Amino acid sequence: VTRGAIARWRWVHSWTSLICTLFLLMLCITGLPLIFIDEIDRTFAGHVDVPELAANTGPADLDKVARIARERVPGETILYIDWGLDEPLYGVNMAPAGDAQDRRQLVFDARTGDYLEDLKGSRQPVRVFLGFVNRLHIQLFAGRRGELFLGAMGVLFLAALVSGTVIYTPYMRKVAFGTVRGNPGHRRQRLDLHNLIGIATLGWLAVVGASGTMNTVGKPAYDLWRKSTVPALIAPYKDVPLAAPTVGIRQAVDSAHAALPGSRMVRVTPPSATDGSPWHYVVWTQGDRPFTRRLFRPVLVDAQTGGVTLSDPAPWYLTAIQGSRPLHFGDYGGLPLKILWAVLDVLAIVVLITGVQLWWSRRRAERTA
Amino acid sequence: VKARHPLHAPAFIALFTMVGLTAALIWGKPLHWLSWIALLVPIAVVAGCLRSPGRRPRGG
Repeated sequence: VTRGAIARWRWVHSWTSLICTLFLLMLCITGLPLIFIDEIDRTFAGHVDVPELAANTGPADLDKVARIARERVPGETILYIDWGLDEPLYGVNMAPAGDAQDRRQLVFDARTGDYLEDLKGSRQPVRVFLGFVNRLHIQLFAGRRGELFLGAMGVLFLAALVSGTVIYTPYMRKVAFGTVRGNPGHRRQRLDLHNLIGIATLGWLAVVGASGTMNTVGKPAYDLWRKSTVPALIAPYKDVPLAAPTVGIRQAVDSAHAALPGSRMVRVTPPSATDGSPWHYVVWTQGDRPFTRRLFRPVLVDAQTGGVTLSDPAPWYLTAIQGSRPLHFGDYGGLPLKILWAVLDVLAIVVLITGVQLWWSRRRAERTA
Repeated sequence: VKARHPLHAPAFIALFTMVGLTAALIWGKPLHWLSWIALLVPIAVVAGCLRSPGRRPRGG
């Protein structure tokens, strides 16, 4: 690599890093509590205690659960009911008509159908804090625009990783791997520290950066797919008059399960004019293997006949986005993986801070000279 | 003696990290331990190098 080429790569590394550093610092700092969001929620936010019951108890009747939820909150409609992934719980998500943002979740025991908690009513400070951190991390409180902006920062971050790796080589040609020279606070030590931590954690930084960037386009990509798929599936119904469902929720879920026997049911959306289809229940399923458990596929169940309409499997880009999510969250390898994820997150913060310090000291030195 | 390329060690660590994480994602619980080791390696490398700072330049 020529001297001129190295100078160009250094310019790319400096500016791609500088532009995204502030946002990456925010993402690393807000990401720390989000790594442990389940543990924090369980410990501080009044986790719902599920009573011990005989293993073969239940499952509870979903229609009865929905009826109890409607009786408890008569002014609101059910948006969807989802299943607890690790615990026998149903979450009935409700909102006032026309205001889906102002939602609540009523939690039920999935074995007995007993009502347990209204998560909107609880409003624990910890959940408010986690919600704040989550929105800041995902969208900077700027909705879809914020998400896409952070996606652009992710692209710059990946460019910074590539350019950083290119300029690492000539710097380290005469130095053994892992050498940290100089005294604390000296520029040389900061440079060596930046190089060492940056290059040792390169694989993790690339995985988390790329999967995070993919996540930012996840919702637009999903909406695109839904807008192109769902209308085609419900087109034959456009002249069918709307009527109250004669098929119950439990029956709809059973029909979906019979159509995709190897799948797990995770969510059911009642017929709706605003989300899904006004003639169908939409039952969301996921695979039964470690990887396919991350992939969702909707099944439409006719609310009058119980007939099933299967969508095509999600396209490759949605599969890639859904499948890569755990590589961003680090939530698929138990608590040890989460702890290691947090340590690497702190190391990433050190890389970002030393990078800015290096740029600043170099700039000062150039001005003095 | 011809020195190794400066990217040999980093490339190995990065590749091991990515393979370990992806394998645990695809095969689930039986390979969780691999994802732990995949992340322990870069952390251990950083910790080890910081414990023995100021190693001599190559050939110096």
